[in-house]
Amino acid sequence: MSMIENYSQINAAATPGVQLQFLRYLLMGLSPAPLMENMQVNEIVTVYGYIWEKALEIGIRVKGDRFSQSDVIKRLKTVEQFKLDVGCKETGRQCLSDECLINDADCAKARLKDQFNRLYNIVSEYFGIEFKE
Amino acid sequence: MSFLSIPKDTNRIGEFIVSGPSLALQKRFITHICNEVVITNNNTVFGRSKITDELQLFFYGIGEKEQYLDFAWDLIAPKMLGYIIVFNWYDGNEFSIAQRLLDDLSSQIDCHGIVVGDVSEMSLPIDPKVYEQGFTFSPKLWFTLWDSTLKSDAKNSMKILVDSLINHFE
Repeated sequence: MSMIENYSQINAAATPGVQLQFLRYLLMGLSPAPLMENMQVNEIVTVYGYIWEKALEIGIRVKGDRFSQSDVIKRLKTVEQFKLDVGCKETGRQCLSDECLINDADCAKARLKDQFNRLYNIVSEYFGIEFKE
Repeated sequence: MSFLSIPKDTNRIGEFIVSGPSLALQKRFITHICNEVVITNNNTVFGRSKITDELQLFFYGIGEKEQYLDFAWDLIAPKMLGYIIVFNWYDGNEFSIAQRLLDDLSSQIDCHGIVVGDVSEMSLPIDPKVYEQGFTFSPKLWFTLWDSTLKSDAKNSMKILVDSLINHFE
């Protein structure tokens, strides 16, 4: 597959059915890791964007004025920490760059799984339910 | 033409399809919304809700039989205002069917729709204010949860769908 074909797949949108499935796990306090097993990393990226928005909406609905987006960001793993953990030699500050999605999909997927679990855990805390990893 | 010249007995009808893996749930939804509900010979449900003498909403619960579903969609889908997909939130098989239906419809029809998961079997241990405003998948597609034993929850799902329609007035 050519590089151009690879790039054209990077922004593949997840279907509403896939979005619904991730939302279902989010509302039930379940880790979405099993859902990602057979998904392409580019699709997971678009779902992450969707779930990130929903997590913020939920935060605002539950906590109201006390909600702070920066409190959520603080609990996600930083790019620097993730790179250190996996021994990434990339010099740029960015993580999950287009190059990573194409050339090191497994690493990108691991990063996404970790962030998803952290985000789902935070939302479970908002709900006051146990997060099942 | 002035609105005053519209004859008083003019009937205007807005149509909605209620779909999903369970006819019983379709019927329950329609019963909560409509003044009149009829079960047809084809094992489908028809409901009518009268807004005014001139305006009525029709709801078609199109059952579970696949051979009838295609026919029903072909007949009603081109002129419908929107669709409602109802399913049991806790049932994995029902969820898969609802998920496939949602993907099929969203790829084939540019229409407003809402997916409604029934949590009457066991209440979800989260505050209803989290989901009662609904969540979007796209500007025309929504999701919410409902307790199918409650009329107010069915009305809330319709309110989200109608709000979505109103927000797209040109």
